[in-house]
Amino acid sequence: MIRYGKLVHMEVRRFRYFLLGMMGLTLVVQVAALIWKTTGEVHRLRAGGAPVPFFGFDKLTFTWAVFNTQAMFALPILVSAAGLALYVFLIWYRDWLGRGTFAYRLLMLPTARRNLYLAKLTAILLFVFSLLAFQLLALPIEQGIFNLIVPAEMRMDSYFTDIIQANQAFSLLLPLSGAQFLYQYGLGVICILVAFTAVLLERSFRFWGIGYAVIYATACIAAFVVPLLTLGFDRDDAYLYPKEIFGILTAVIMVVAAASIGLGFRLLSRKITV
Amino acid sequence: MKRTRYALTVVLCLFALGTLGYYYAFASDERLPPFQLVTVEGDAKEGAALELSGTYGGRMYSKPLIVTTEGSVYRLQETLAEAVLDSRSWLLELPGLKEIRKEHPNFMRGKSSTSGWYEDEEKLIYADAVVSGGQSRTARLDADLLDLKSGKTSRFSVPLPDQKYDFAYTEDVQLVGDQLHVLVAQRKLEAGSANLPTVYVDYVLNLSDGSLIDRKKLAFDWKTTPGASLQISVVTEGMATAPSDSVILQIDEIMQKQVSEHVAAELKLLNEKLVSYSYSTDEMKELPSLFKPGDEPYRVFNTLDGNVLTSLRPDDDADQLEWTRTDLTTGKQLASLSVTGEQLGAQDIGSSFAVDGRIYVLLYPTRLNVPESMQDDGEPTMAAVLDADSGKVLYRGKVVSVDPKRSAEKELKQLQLNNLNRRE
Amino acid sequence: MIEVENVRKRYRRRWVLDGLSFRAEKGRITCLIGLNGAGKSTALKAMMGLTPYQEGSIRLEGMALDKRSYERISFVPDHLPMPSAMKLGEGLQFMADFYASWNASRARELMHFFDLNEGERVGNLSKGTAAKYNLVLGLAPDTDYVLMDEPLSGIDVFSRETVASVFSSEWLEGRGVLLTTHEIAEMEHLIDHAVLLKGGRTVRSFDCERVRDEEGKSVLDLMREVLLA
Repeated sequence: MIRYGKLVHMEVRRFRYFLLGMMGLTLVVQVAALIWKTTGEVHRLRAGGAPVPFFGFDKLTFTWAVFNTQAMFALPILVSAAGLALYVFLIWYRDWLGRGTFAYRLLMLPTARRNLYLAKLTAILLFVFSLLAFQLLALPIEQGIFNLIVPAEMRMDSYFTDIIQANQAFSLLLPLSGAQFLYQYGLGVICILVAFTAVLLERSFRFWGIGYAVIYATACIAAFVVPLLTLGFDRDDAYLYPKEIFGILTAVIMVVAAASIGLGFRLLSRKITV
Repeated sequence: MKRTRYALTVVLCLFALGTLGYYYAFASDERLPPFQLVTVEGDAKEGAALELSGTYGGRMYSKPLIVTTEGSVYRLQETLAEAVLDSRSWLLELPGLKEIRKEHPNFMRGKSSTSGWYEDEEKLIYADAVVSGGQSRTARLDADLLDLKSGKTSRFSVPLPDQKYDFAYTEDVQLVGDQLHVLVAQRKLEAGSANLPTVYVDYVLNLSDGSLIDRKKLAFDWKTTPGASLQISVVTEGMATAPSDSVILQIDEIMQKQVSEHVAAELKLLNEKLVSYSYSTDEMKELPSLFKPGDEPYRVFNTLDGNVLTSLRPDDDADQLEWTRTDLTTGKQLASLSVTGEQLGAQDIGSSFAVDGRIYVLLYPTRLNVPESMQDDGEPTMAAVLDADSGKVLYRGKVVSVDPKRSAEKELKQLQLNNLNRRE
Repeated sequence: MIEVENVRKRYRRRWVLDGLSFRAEKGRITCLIGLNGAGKSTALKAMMGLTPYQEGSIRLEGMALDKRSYERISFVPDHLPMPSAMKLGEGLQFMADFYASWNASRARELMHFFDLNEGERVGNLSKGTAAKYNLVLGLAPDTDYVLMDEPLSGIDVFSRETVASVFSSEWLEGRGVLLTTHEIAEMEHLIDHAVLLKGGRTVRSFDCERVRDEEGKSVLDLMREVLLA
């Protein structure tokens, strides 16, 4: 357990500059877009321009600012997401690349091999959630900057939930419903499990490994998507009731998760080769 | 000193979990104001069946909500799980069908037509007309029968003699003695002309052997104005499965005027009639209709409660509602009444409907066709329930803002309730 | 004693190890000798769990290998398996974090012996220096056995001398050493026991001193005799 913690720390430490970089990029790009948009509008209004009603509000709000900087606010988020998605694979391959194959060192550690798997999984999740948390904290900071730029008589307060809903990326990544958050990120975790196991398949079977990995990933995706598309949960004349289809989908997800973890652990402890 | 080595990871963990935890515990709550329907006069039980729906403004996007005597429920975005679980709920939760699904789930599988059901004490029957096959079209009638006493099921499939139709829709299924009547609306598509008339056919099956006994085409004695088309719809029952020995058809003569290419066509209702067709006697009888020339389509609301037909018509100024109740077996008119908004303590009458011998009305305290600046002075929306036969007010209620910390007037101003429904 | 018995390992269609059997005893220096592709490196990797094998068994003091065994066996592979950005001192800390058998004072002594700087980064080391650091990581822990894969290959002459001196030093005293090498000429006088591999299996296993006394042959002679036949 302690060794698992140390491994997590090692993974976090290896990635810390990238993580800070993503956070920094997000803050810088968002603040720049915010300042540019808001000062532009304030100048326009001061010069005698008519206020453009925003969902029925006349005064400027931080919600308005977030709504009107959609692309620029979302851009660093997309870059970070792409980076993290890539790192799901690189967090493994990184140990094999370069002159010093760190994989030797990790596999020789006197610790259960599954701790390596779990530590990498934990690290990725930690990165995802800390970036989300960073975005949440960035918003009140950005709102403060907004309040500095816009004089009090021209602005109005915003509901925090409105701010979140103003940007499509936010409402997608930080859904207001806690249940939706769990469903979304739960599915995300399972995707990571499948990806990890695919990587381990490739690393265990080298030549045929990439084929096995692709087959495995495809099978997992198909196991979920095929019932979703064919059972016709939205078709009137479907044979199964929605509750039954939901039950099937849930069971499939559980099986895919268990299989991925089980297979991944086995590959890592018995079949992996440097 | 050694402990601080792990500070990076520990801090990151706490930061992530703490911030997200706080967000979902407190910050993601939209804090939308609660409303409630409270009784002004009458029996609270009648009011408990009401469901007012609309939107609450005051935020970036209007929030849809439902207000009842128990309080308000905001319909927030569906989660992934709800999207799957609630699919097809419009079909599966219909009164009558909901009970069948609970009691006979396996019998109900794969049956999608809402009007193809019939249920009495002994039998549960589902029939549907199906048209299949590309070039060589085959039309057939499939019927499934569940004997409620023995639990046995049987199935018939009868090919239909009219093969040339492209669409067949089952409008009604009724049992008269040992004969199963399936009323099917059939239509043929011809490239280029959209308005080919729909033909209504009553197919009669012998229930004991599943053979097709008779095929009666319903003929409407009607001379249409050139350029107009007939639109026929079946007046629906409250319960999809209820037995009845006749079916009520509403026939609308509609003239469609295409003003310009990009504007939707104007529909003008030239005439509207109500006709009853009896399955047992083949008789087609015209019934009195509340239609008045100049009415727009769907102004008159017709519904069946067993053998009583209720017709409801709001007048032009939206401040008066009139209705009639007719017993179809005797042909006698049971009631011909009206009520004004003022009599109910409001100004304008919004949507209204009749179900189960009651008239349900949504009321507004201000005039509807007044510019927005004069409207929405924070006066509450109201609802009333009247007895259809006597016109007596059984219930009157108004919508109030429940949270004492908020300004009731301000919140009610943002609330717009446009629909009234009856809860099941 | 580490006992390898009838180990067979296949890679694609070839049996890289085909019934390999030998013993590495504590307190002795055993050497796996063979031509390229004979399976020497693969044998060591299999013993460290770095690659799977299909048949046979590998036992440490009679028991099967598990995660705890690696507190008792250390491995010095043919290259330095540490991230390039890592500083040497951080590498030592890493080992200390995960190995209960890590001996920090011995590690410091070894670093001093090899004249290594803790602040240096792994990526900046020359091949010879990297090999020395690799040895530090392998020798510092209090392990009973040390496995080394080609410890002398590819490094400069002077570094090689330093490394060779380790074998007769106190760093390896009392431990079982198993190594593979090409440089048999330089290593011959250091090893106790030799195992000749050909085609993935043991063809001759002998005590070096006894062979020298009794048959008058050097290890190199026997190599030529057995492996080039």
